[in-house]
Amino acid sequence: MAEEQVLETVEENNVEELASELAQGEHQAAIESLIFAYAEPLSITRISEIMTLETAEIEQYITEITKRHANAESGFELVKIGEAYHFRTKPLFGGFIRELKATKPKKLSPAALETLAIIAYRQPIVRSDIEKIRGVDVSPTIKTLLERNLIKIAGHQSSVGQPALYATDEEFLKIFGLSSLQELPSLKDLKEFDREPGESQEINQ
Amino acid sequence: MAQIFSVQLDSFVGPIDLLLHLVKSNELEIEKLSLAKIAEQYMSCLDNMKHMDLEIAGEYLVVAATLLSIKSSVLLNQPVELIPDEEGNLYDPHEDLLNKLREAEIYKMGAKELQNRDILGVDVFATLSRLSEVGEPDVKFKEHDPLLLGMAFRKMLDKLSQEKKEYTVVIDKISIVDRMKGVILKLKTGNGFKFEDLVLNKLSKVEIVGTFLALLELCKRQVINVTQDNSFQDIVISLADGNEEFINFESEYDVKEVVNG
Repeated sequence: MAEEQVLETVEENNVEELASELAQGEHQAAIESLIFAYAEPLSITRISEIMTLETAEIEQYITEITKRHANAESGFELVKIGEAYHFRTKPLFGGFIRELKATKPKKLSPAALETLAIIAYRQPIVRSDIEKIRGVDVSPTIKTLLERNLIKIAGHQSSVGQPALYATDEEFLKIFGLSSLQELPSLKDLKEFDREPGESQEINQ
Repeated sequence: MAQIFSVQLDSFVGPIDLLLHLVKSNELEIEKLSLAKIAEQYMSCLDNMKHMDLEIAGEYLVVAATLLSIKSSVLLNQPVELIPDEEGNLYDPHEDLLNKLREAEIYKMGAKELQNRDILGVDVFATLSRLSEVGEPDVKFKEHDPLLLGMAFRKMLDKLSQEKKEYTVVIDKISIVDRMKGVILKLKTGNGFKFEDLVLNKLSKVEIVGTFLALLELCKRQVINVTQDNSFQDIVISLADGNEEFINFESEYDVKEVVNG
């Protein structure tokens, strides 16, 4: 006996046609559904490609979506991560959600956060320079930060031994809910400090 | 005065950290006058360290010397004596210390800010994406970096050392081709396996390495699919449609048997 077909591919969309059929006000909802379904931060560029809308228009819709979720009736909010948007639950309900989880989440220690902050401010930076500031061996911290994709190796310094230069990775903004590095305090003040003499920041990819 | 500041010495990670704590706990600004004021407290902290038989690192003493120099220059209203650095450029050691403190303060503020933020996966949560299964993911794939493979490999080896502390040194040979065949047979029995499932004897390093190389060979021949939904999730290996019958079972990692005669 012949076997019946079990799975078949869903028909190709004509997205432009779909977009043109949307009624007034449905664009905003469509964008909302995209961000919700994607679950990772979704970039404006990607939304604009799918919806065939100008980025300025999308930004306007996003402002409205953000506003709608800001009120107390909504359990989640739209957060800007770099140039992308992400739905996440409101901090107020974190305690309840943790109850759902089988394992308690672990977070970074204050010491590890200090090392991470130094990398965020001074990137790209070699390990020995971090240790000069921190005064402790930071190799275990760097290993964990690399494993969690919070930092990456951005290149190698052109000096003896070609030590790795560390910089923050995409996950950094995502995990800490930052729209850019400028959100960290006094980044501008720091730039006024002189770099140590002889410190080469050349990146040797 | 020293008794008031029974500081937990081992919680400081260096002289700058200790000094910054003293400035802050005295509610002072980071300026020369403050450093002159707390020089004594700093010294008594160092004394405490001696009592506790802690070896005082040289860097603590360098800072101590600079503090004393600041104190005398403030008290006697004397100008700072500039000293040359490694390259012979003159610099002001007092300003240098103050700058280090200011810099350390900013890092501390940054770390505090990070600590106060709502952290994804701890304070705020997002749904888990399954979309990568059907569509081109938006997240850029990480640039190819041999380090990533190395890290995955390292993880596996770490696990290995956790599972077994004693080793018997047996030099056993393993054929990559055999492992390739073994992996295909195993993959046929189900719908997607984790790397660990494919390793026959998880306690054998040779097995792990051999299976890993076999997977790379199979990848190269496009016989298997390797997918991962999300960072940190398991990598799932499954059989690609069809062409496993026609592949060339040969590996550069296998030593060819030399037939005598």
